[in-house]
Amino acid sequence: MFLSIWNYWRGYVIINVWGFSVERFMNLATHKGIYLWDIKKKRNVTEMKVSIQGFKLLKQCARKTKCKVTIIEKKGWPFVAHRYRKRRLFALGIIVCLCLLYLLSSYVWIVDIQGNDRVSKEEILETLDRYGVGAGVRKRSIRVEEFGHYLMQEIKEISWVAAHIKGTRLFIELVETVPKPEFIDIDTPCNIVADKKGVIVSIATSAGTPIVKAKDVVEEGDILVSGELLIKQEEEVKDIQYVHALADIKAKVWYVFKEEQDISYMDKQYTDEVKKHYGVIYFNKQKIFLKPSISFENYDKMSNKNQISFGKDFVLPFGWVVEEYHEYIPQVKKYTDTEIKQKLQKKLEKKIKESLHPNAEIVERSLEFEKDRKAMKAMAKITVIEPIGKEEEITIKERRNLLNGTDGENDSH
Amino acid sequence: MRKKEKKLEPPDAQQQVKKKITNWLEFPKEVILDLPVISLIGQEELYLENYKGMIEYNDERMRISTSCGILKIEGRGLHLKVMTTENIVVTGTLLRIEYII
Repeated sequence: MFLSIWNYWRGYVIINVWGFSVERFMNLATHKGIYLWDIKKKRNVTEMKVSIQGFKLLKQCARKTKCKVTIIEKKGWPFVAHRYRKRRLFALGIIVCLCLLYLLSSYVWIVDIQGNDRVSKEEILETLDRYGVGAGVRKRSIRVEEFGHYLMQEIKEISWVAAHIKGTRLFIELVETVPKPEFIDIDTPCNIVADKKGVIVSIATSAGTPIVKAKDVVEEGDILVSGELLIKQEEEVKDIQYVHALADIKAKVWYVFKEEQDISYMDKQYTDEVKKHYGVIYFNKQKIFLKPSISFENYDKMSNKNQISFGKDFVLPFGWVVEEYHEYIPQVKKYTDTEIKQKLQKKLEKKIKESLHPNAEIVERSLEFEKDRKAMKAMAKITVIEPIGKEEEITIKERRNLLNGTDGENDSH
Repeated sequence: MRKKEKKLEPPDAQQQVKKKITNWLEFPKEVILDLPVISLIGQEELYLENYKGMIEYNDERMRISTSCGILKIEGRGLHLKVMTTENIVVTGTLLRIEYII
């Protein structure tokens, strides 16, 4: 196989030899050092293959042995080159194209960020830009390990970054930090106070002195469980100990959610008229070329971008964009009552779900609708049983000393 | 013919000596004694090294002259795959290989 490639590269001819003694001709040729191969005898002619250089020397041999030589076929790269000798620029063009391709694929053209929830993509891209990494940067100048550390340093919400370059894409995967819930240290004494207004349903204390009991009405800020432990000995307060109060308190809380929805809306009725603009994208800019004029009054614009890529990862910064303009006739329509009510209900459900505590239990709910000329309003009142209570630290000032005497507040329980 | 006979005689004695030395020292014979080497692969290929010239070439018969006589190859569909100054490769269905002196 390699021999045939080599022979093709050098170029060879297939010749027919006939005459009195073909064998003498072949002997003479080989003694001169000419390489002959694929020699076949066909009827009374002998067919063989000779290299181009060899062929030139063959003529002498043919004369000496009185044989006739004719060329049947010319094969090889030199013949092709000769045929296209006037098309040199074409060959040059191919080489330039390949070089360009190699050059272009040594840059990063697309940055792919995954795993970002709280941090926006633009923020990450901007930070990377300051470091000198982004689309349009040479692949070799990006040190993947280094800019991971930089990113974690600059943006506090990122706890882990892994990056790798595949083709012309830069993949960045990140894991964000879990927001730390506000804890007061277990060794710090604190009270539990109410963070909402409601009626206590149940209270189970594991540390501290409970101040409220079931069916008590509490306001925001009321102390529910006190971190003060009074050690009494025969109705006399001997010592006060301060602990970190812990309790499981559930209360009934009322919420009101409101939502509004307009009755009339604009419906887009698409006609079949579509006009297209074609454009070219290069290096993050785009230029639109074919611009047939748009005579529509109202239209929807849809942009379809395509980038040239070899496979999934070798994306080049060139492409084309097709913008489609679909005409529509706006029509004012009205929702029916049931439709509006359904929409409002959905909106409210969503709102409620988002604002409530995950452990909340909805006990009662009522939905009221109010309709006026332009819109319909809905009001949902829900009664929820949910855990309440927020830890509040007892400061040093508040701690009372037995020596200073007690407050009147203490005696009521 | 006479001239050739005279030339043959002295090298003959030399050849004997050469043969003895080669056998004893186990040198490769074909190199020192200028003998042809034939490799036959199955019935399909014959690889001949060190020949002098080709005498006859036919679809069914080939005669090649070597330093130790004429080698006659008979077969069907004989092609000369490669022919260089030193080697010949013959392919086809080989039937008979004979030395004719």
